[in-house]
Amino acid sequence: MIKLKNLIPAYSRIVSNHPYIVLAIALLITGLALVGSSKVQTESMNYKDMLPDDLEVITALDYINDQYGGSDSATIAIELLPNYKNSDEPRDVRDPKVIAYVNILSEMLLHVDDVTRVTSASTLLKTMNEDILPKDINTVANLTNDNGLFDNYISKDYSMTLIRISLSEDFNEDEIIVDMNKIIEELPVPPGLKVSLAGQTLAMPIVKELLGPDMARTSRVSLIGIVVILLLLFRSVRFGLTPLVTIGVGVIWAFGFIGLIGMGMNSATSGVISMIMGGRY
Amino acid sequence: MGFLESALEGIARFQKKFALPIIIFVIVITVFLGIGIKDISLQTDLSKEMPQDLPIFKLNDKISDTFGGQDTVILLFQIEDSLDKRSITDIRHPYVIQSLIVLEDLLNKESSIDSVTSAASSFRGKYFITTDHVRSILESKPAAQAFFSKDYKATLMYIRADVGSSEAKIKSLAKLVKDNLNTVPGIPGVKITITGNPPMRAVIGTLLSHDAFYTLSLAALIILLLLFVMEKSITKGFLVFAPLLIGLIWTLGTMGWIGIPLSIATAGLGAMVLGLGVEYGVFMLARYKEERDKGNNQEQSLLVAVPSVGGAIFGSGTTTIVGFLALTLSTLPMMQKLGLSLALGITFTLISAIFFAPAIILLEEDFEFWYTHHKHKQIVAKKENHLRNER
Repeated sequence: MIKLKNLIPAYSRIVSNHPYIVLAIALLITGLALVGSSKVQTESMNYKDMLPDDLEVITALDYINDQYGGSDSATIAIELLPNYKNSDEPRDVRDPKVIAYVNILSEMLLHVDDVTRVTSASTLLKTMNEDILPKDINTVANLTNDNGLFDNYISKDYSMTLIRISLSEDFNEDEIIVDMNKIIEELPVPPGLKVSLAGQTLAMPIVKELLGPDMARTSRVSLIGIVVILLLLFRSVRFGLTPLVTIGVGVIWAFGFIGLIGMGMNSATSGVISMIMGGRY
Repeated sequence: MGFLESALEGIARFQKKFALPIIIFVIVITVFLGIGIKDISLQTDLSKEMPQDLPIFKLNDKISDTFGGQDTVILLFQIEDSLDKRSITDIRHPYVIQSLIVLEDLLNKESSIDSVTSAASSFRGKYFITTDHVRSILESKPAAQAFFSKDYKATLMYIRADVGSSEAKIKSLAKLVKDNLNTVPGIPGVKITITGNPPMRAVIGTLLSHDAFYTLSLAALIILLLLFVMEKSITKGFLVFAPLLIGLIWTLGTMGWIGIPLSIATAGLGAMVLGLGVEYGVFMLARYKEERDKGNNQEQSLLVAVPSVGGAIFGSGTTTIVGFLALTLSTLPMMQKLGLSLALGITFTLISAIFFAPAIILLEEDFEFWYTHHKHKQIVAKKENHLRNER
């Protein structure tokens, strides 16, 4: 405490005697921090990232990733969405038109980088039917009825079917979404079907895209709120806005450091600007 | 004089007159809110902390509702390095396959499990399985082959169940799998490990509870020690810490009452509230002591300390609260809950520092005054007794 009491007046003397040097140092650090802050990247979160690497549950998962080429998976949902009454649009996902579409989509997905395995109702049907897709709904129904394997791919009301996709370890989450969407967009979808990407693995990159705008919005609101309170408290524009300089510099320094040490921003840390602003100055 | 300052002066006068009732009132509130702490739940489901109105999350929920469990427990059967000659060295060993069949049958009977898939289904209906038989089936069935690692040191079993966000279901699923595993005779030289999202969530739940308690205890201990050193008095250290602790109990209790769970975002909340809120009490006590050292009486000192420090910490606290409340506008529920919890924490520590801290400072001073006089009287009486008895 005694040392601190001596240090603070000493620092005050330096600031009052050499304000421009102190300012230059602060600006230099701020410049470096700005460079560092440009390197900050947003990233997704998953359970594995949240746990220490030496836990048995994680080492087992790492082993599976090594041996089986990843334990992450994605899903494509194909739902019935008929546009017109009495049209020939499929009313049952076991319709050969749907199965044929699922088959082509499954085969195309196998060519996407980082996709290791694709399973769907069509792959199962081919396995059971000597590699031939049934041409009529009755044959499909006969093959799928009372076969528990299809429960994972065809819904009980026959309104939805899934394509399950296994992904390699360290798959590129951004590229895989782009590639899959491209295939879905390019492959003509039979009328009355809706095709969507699903699964937690693909949801996280979508959330990641929201982080930047989200941080900007919360920071803006936080800043406006703080400015209003400071102006009300100090009843002076000059004294009300002066503390904001420290907030701005603090945020830049913090982000610079985060960027320089290579720590990305994720869902759990996305509120950091608002927290710094609200914190102290 | 501004409104805030005059209001704080009024509070200071009230505190001087009703210090004890204020403390009793605070204790009652603390007990009421504190009851909520036991209702704080754990949230380890990362997806529930994400914006549920996004189409992909809605679709995931729909898939989960339609197809049952989207949560997969993976059982890893792995050959261990062993010098024991009885140990199995190839995971395709018939004994392993038979164990897989038995375990798959047992797990399939469990109502909470939606499906179990492993290589076992390819070997059903055979009374006697030989090594050659296993190999020939694997060669003819690529789907079964996919369950085995390339070096035949491991095989997998996938157990699917819909545990959703229920921590109890996660734990009971993990227990169910373990219990069933225990009923299957051990396979010499084969280690069975449970992994996948539900077991990871169970571990996260344990770690979250542990971390929340650990970081809170550590922060409390360090802050308390620093207060003892700074104030050079254990009593004064507790005088600053007590309002902080009250604010923290109110915060955690309110979280329990309004259903804000302990999650990856809020696990460190206790330590954060302690760290952010401690200075309010420090400022209040320091300013009051300063006035008392000048020779002012209790009321005069309070009339200076509460309006001046109260005004300053009110301003500082309000900006902090606004900063944190901005997080409630985030699209991520995780951030919304963190922002709300932190804002609550600062609000409560601020209220506690302005209303409760001066009251407890006065009572402590009164007690010290009474105790010193009481002791003094005792010593004087003892001294007079000694003098009377001419030792």
